[in-house]
Amino acid sequence: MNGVTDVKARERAATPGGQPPGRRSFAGRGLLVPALVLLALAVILALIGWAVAERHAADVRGESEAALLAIQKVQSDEIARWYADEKSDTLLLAGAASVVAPLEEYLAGGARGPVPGDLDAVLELYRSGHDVAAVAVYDERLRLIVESPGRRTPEPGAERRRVLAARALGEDAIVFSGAYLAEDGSVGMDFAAPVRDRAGRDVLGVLLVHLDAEDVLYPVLAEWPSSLQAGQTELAAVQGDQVVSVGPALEEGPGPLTMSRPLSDPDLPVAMAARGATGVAEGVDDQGRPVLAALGRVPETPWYLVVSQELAVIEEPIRERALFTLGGVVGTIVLAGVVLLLYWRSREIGERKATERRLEELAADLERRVRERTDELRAANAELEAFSYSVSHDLRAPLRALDGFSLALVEDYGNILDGQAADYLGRIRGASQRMGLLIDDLLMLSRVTRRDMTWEESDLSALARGIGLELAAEEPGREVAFTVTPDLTVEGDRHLLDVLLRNLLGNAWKFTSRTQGARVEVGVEDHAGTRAFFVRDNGAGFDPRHADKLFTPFQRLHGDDEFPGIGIGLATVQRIVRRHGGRVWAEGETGKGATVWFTLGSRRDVE
Amino acid sequence: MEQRVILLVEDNDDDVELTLRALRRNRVANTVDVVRDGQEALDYLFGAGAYAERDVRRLPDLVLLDLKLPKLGGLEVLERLRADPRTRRLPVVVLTSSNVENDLARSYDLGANSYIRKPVDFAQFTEAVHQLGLYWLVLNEAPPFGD
Repeated sequence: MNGVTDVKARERAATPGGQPPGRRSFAGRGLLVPALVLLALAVILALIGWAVAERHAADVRGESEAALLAIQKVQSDEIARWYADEKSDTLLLAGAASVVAPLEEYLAGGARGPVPGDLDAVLELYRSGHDVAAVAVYDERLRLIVESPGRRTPEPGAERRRVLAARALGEDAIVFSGAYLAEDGSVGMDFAAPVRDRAGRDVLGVLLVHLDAEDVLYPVLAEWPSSLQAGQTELAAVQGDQVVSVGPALEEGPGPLTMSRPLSDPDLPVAMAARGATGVAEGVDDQGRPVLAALGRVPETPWYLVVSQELAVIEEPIRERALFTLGGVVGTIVLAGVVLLLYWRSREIGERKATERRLEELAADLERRVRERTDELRAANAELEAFSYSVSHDLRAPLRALDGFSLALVEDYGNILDGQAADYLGRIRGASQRMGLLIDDLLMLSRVTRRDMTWEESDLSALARGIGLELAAEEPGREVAFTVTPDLTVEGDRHLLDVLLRNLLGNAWKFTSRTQGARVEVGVEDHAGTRAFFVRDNGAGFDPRHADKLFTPFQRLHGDDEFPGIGIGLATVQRIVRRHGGRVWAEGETGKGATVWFTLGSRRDVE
Repeated sequence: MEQRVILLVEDNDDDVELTLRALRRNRVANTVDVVRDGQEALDYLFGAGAYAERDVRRLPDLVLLDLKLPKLGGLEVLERLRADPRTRRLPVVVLTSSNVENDLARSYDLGANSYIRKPVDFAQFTEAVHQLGLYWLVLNEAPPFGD
């Protein structure tokens, strides 16, 4: 049929891949896939974020290194140029005629009296023009000839200057003192150059130029040709196994030349530089802060220049950027999660809707199938109805013919039939009539089962009394004491209940036909809270051992010669009681009567 | 006494014979016309087919109608008779083996005047035929015919 094929096709379509709908779990299968996708996405995003941050860090670091190197180079060059300038200026002054001539003259004159040629004025002019702290001239034996600015008393540091001058004489070349901490607390530097005579042969003395680092050196370092913020420049020199800071003064900590650190310090950038390292290195500064530093020696000078920047400062933008990237990654992952969750939810809702739709379709199918079955049942019932009709009509006609023509024989030819022939014809008639009754009862039984129930309030007492009157009228000669308990009202199909009582009372009438003082009683008793109706007689009764066979169709406990019947009455009774949701049973004893009990349910019990 | 005519609509030979026997024994009818199916019954009553020569103004006094008939069923015949003004008042007694409730109800709904179930016991059957013949042909005042 159409409906059935449809259902099967849909069932096949509803389970792609052979997965039965009932076996999949929404939570298990539904969550796993999005969770895995999200995890993979998170890993990929994290890797990308990490790579971006790493790249950025490398970029920033590279930029910082380049900047530090550039600054170091520029400043280093500046200092070297300054140094070279200062040195050549000193040499120029030492060879200048305005210095040599008066000195030569003065020495030739026995080094007495005033120095001729206004040498002090020349020196003063040079000093003021060259940002020089002091200029002095010594003779060969290191006696101070003249100095600017002039002083009366020997000033502190005179000895140190004499030593430098002696070095210049000894080396016969210009020498540099390096930076030192002067007695007045300033940072000083001295150049000492031999002064020769005008012929350039004999050394006359020594010219000494004293410089204050604050005036000439630190300004060079203070120039910071970069946007690199808060960086630090340190000029350092080696003193024995120590590294000494030349300047400029640090913002915090001791001043220049007061702080010395071991040359062997592995992490200190200036120590690394002093050990000959160049380029960029990571180290730890005096304050213990990790720094990135550009290292190098300042050419021509005894100094090392270190330009450093705190790693924390360098890495600040990296951290910011990394945080930003991290935020982006996390945000994207969360967003992806939310999107996936929403997608999953919508899919789950979709699946649930699909399931509901499937259920609805199945319900509709079921309904249709029920309808079809109902139709089929109705058709079968109609067929049975037709069959019953045919049976009732067509089976009875031949019986009637048998009976009728047998009687006709007796009536028309009775004079030529002997007693036995008449007896045979009587038997034919009896059999025909019994079979007629049998057909009637069979039809009754089948009708009782198929009849549509009509539930209504019915009075068993009234029905029983009516039937009793009919039975009494059928056999006027009999005396039966018939009692009915009044007002036995029940809910049930009145027609079926009538059939029920008709069968029970008919039996009672029949089985008391040989009893003197026959009694038939209809009543009710309480059985465990349920009303149990009964029909009782004092007739032939039955053998209680066969009580279970009473309600089987065609099962008889009495011979036909005793009590005629076909054994279908109690089967009919049982069917009627069942259709009312009740129970039926019988009690009895041979020769002492029988009682048939029945209960009736309500419409609720049946539907 | 004028002629009493009964139309017996019955297809079963045995039943025809038994019915005729019962009617004979009761001597209620002078004439019993027998037709074998529903169509023949209509032809008889409306003067068609084999009965085209029949004077349709002469209606039977009583129709004994079986329900289970070849060609046209008894209920259909009844319906047609009641639909036609000429036969609307014709006394029709359903005489059948069926005691199916539905047949009973339908017969009365369609205007049957009586419903007799043929008992198997011929003695009872004879008694029933006697009763109905007595009632419908003797006691009952026939309806006026024609409009």
